Amino acid sequence: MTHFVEALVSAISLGSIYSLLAIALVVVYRANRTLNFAQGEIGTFTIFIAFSLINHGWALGLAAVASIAIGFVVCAAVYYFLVRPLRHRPGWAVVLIGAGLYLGVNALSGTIWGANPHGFPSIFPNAVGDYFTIAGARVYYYVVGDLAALIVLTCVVSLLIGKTSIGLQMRAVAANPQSADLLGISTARVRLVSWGLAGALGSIAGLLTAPVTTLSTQMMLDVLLYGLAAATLGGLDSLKGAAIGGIAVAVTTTMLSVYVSWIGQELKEAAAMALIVTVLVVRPSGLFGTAQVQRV
Amino acid sequence: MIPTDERHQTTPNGPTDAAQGEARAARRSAEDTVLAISGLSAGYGSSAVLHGLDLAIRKGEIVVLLGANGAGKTTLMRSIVGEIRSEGSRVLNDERLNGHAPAATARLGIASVPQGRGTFNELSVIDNLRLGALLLPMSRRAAAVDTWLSRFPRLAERRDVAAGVLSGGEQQLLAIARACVTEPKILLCDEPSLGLSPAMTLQIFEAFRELNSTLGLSMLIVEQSARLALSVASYAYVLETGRIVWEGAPTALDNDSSLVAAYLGRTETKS
Repeated sequence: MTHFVEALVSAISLGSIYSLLAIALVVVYRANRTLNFAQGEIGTFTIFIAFSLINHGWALGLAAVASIAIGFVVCAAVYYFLVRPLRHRPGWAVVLIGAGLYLGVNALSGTIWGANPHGFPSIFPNAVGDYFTIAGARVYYYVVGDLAALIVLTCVVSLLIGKTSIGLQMRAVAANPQSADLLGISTARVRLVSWGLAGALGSIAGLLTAPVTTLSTQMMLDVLLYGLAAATLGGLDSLKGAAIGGIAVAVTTTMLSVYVSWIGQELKEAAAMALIVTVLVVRPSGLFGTAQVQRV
Repeated sequence: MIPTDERHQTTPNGPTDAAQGEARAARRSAEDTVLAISGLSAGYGSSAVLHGLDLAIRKGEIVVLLGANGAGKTTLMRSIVGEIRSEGSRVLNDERLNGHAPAATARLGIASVPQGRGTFNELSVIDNLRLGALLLPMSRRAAAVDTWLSRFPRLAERRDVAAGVLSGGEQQLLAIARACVTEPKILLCDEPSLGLSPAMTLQIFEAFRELNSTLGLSMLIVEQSARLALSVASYAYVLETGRIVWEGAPTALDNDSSLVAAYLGRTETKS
């Protein structure tokens, strides 16, 4: 039981980070029907900037806020200068931009900050003794913090999209961009805000990842892969789907590796992906995605 | 200037071609002209679809554009709002529309209901209307949405339902209401009867008549079911292979046997 709870708790912590990146991917997908493969790398880049700021004597909180703001600006700029000019091109052109940025930003971070990993402070207390116990299992405070961050941010983004004027426009652009245009909605502005929001979420995912894995150019690779899996599992256009998808992917991989001996560490990714493919065969629009059904 | 394509047109009421041409030019430059289109040419890629159209919609008028499939009706609608590039001039109340994207023409006061209605299917009825209200000042938005809900009780009953599950007729009403919430200077409507039952089509046109008489809303309606459309119209254009081949008062159309045969059906000819 103790073993199970410890595995579960660590999975939830990882899953919260996957979910946050998945939500970022979903926000971009809803705006442009495309995926930003550089979402994780841009997040890493902003954490490196926070790292430099901290080395220059900035407080962690201030550096964290700066990295989130920079994430917003960088992703909004990526949309405005790289993605928007391609709006009359087929969708894969944007995917190529994302792939190119992935490599470019990764190399840029490596050039500036080097290939060696760096320690990065945690926003939540993560010292050796910062835990409480449930059923004999240690639950670290930062794990609770990660989950709380996911829950709070999911609520904030849901409220933004569901209750505000810009959110209403974001839903309109997701549902029918041509009609949004005909109503005088500036689709470019809505997409700019969406990409920026995704960038901010990517930075937050990076802030939670760096203290656990150490800060390096490779730290977001897993997060991006599992985030993509989570977003797909959740249905690509659903925030709730992405939030639940990330936790589900993390819990599944962890439990498979812990309790199914022949899967272990080596096959856990493959097993999780097989499960996702199975879900998508049964429900092509994912667990919570909008089914592409139209009345004629 | 008399456009060359008007040479085809018949003169049922007697006056000479030149006099009619002048009357039509005057129509476009009249002070109460809301939307004036002259020399409009457009197409897709290198193939031209529209060849120098001249149209005018005056304040408080319902103008109907008739034409067979492929005549260029939808291309014209898309050119007016700037969805596709066109040559010639488009003027809305002294404001040139050339070079404006659809969002900009919408902000200037052209509300457009595209073919197939263009409702936001995943959004609720009231959210569809709220999107239209975004063009109004913040303080008036909620009241405008309420006004239009009360004007269409059918929509009010289903205000929290996703637009995608409404019937085709209800979706059309919603699209019209959403366009009207923006308080447009002119409403463009592309084939509102498409896919609707005759009874529902009748209701849609009844709504047009009502909007026109109570609010004085100017409209340009593209239609294939010509009889009904003409019954609410005060002016009509007939489009054939990208050219206006006839224009005039709807009653005058009845006097042209070839047009009646082509657009109104032989059996319905007035005796």
